[in-house]
Amino acid sequence: MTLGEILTLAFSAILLQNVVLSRFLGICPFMGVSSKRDSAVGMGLAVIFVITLSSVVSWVLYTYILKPFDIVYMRTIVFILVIASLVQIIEMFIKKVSPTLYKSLGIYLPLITTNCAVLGLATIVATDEYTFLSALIYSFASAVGFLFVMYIFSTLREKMKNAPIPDGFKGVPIAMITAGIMAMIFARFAGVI
Amino acid sequence: MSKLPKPLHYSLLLIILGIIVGALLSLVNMFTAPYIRENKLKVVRPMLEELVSNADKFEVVTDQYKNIDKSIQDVYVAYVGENQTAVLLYVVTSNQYGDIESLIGIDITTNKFINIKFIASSQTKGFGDVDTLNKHDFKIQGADLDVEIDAYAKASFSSKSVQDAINIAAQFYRNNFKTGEQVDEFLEEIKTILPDAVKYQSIKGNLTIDNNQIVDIYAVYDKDNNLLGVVYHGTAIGYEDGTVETLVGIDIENDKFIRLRVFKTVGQTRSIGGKDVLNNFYKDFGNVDVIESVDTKAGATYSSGAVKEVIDLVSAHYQANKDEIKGLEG
Amino acid sequence: MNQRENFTKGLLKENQILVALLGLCPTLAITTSLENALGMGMAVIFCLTVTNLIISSIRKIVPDEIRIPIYIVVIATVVTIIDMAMAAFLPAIHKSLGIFIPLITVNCIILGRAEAFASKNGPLSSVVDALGMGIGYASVHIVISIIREVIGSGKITVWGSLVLDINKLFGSNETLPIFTNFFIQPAGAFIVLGLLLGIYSTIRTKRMKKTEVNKK
Repeated sequence: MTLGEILTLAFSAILLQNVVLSRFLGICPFMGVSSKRDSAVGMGLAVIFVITLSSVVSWVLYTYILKPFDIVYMRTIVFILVIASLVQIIEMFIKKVSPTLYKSLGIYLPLITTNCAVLGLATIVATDEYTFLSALIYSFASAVGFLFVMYIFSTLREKMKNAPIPDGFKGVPIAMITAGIMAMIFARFAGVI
Repeated sequence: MSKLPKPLHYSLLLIILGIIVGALLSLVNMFTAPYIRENKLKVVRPMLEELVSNADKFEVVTDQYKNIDKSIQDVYVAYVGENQTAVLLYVVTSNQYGDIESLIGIDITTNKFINIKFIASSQTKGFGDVDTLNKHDFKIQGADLDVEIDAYAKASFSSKSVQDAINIAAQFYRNNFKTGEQVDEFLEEIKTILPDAVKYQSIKGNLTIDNNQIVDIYAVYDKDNNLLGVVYHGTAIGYEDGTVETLVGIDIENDKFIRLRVFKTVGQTRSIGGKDVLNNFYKDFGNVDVIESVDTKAGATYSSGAVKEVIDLVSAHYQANKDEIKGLEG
Repeated sequence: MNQRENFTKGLLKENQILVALLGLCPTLAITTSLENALGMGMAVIFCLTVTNLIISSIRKIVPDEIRIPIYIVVIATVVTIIDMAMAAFLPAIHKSLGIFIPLITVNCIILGRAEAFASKNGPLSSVVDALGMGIGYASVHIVISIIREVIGSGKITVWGSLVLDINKLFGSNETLPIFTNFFIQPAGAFIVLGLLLGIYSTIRTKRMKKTEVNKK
């Protein structure tokens, strides 16, 4: 892979095919933990960790076990178990190694098992026949894209708290509409590549 | 069970569950797999037949190609008798409006597109859906592999996906088929001089060549085995020690130059003495007698020396061996 | 709570999308056409019912500490079976739903109902609960998909044959300029769902105020 190809892949993963705004994955944490900037960034960092690791492990299992043995139909079960156990292991590991990091990231980890961006990306990189390197880059960049929009979105929502919004639209409804405007902006990156 | 330590008890339970689940799923898979395979072919088969109507059979050869573009879902080869006649590619391309699944056929004998058919599309209904796409003529029928597809006036979004699909198909074909025995690039070059050429044969062995700048001489035939003319392959050193490789076609009936083509240049200035530029400068010599000395194109002094040298050499060799060459005709 | 209440609570009062705000990913992603929404709705209703049934039946033998992994395995198995069955018998819908079928596994609604209801109630109640929740979920999908498909393309197509073409009603063969494919794009999905949630919550708060006043 040339540097140009790597950059194109990363660019399209972060902006063009953004997990949240274009693939609609991980909407729950996107809406649920984005009202404060700190928690949004914490969640985003935890997601980068889990997505990259679980996608790579899933890719290896898919390419070297599921596919050769012709049991690709087991992929959803295998991937979700990989993700659940990885989250568990990471949680225990961080708890032991760095209690401060655990304090800031730890509370988001259990939520990640049911973050569909994680299972979604594991499935995408495994079944779409990415190479190992591009699977690694794509999943990492996609997770960075998640952090990126989480951060932007949380700053917007913090500002919105002071805006005069009709009662019924406060909270998630207006956040959805804001996300729609962000998605419009992100869709325009299509012309760049 | 209750006497077992907890972790062991739990892992045992999970393993049992895993075995039950695995068995259940493989059972379901055994039942559904034939339907899934059939579905895949059911959609594609009529389209394959539509694209290559004279084919006797189609084979799925996807597994033979490793590391192909991930947009290519399947590769089919169409056979007439025992001969491969066409390659068909099932390509899925997408943009932010959705996926387009298309089937693109490429003729192996002519290296041209057969056509494109659309299988499915999740793009906007009314603009980029399958029916609309299939109705639209993307102007690739019988086109060369580097075709510029016509954008569908109103649906610039899906034409990008279509264009991607066509380019991916062409790229795959170039990498995997247009090589070796399948396609003769040299013949393609000769065709630029003698468009009807189908076959060429070296006649170097039958002639005496006293100058190593003349690499080879070919007799060129059309599809009915009629001799169309001879083509010389000559080289000369040009500007800054770059080499210019040239093909010169001669009409042996009338002793006239047909056309000259520079098909390869090495080391010459790209924008001034490169192949593309030279092709433009020395495109046609139409009806110039071989005996005549050809005037070099003004303004192109750098490599025109090399080209002129080749022409003079060819001219000299042809005149010296004219009778022998003509004698080979039969 | 009787079974009727148990069923109807999922339709509006505890609607998983409008009230609990769960399972939003497919709600945004696959509501581009009514056909997709129907397919997804069926898959979710089926999956929810079967997992609720299984989990409520085994709730007494599942050790509490490892219930979540067991639930996940059960859900993933049911989803995989649905995935394979749809690929075999409904290939067109399977294709357009794509990755969102395996992702039903991590749809919060399924695990949410397993944890909140099926692990505490008997099989019959759990099935009724699942049907109510599933139908409530699918209805929201259907409403959003109709809005998006109509505004997006001016017509509705179901299984390729049943077509309602509003453009034709106006005597036009092409898509009228008032219909914009914006609503089929991601941005349109967010905005339609946002407006729907906002309107629903406005009506809900007004109603709740009214009942409070009445009670007084």
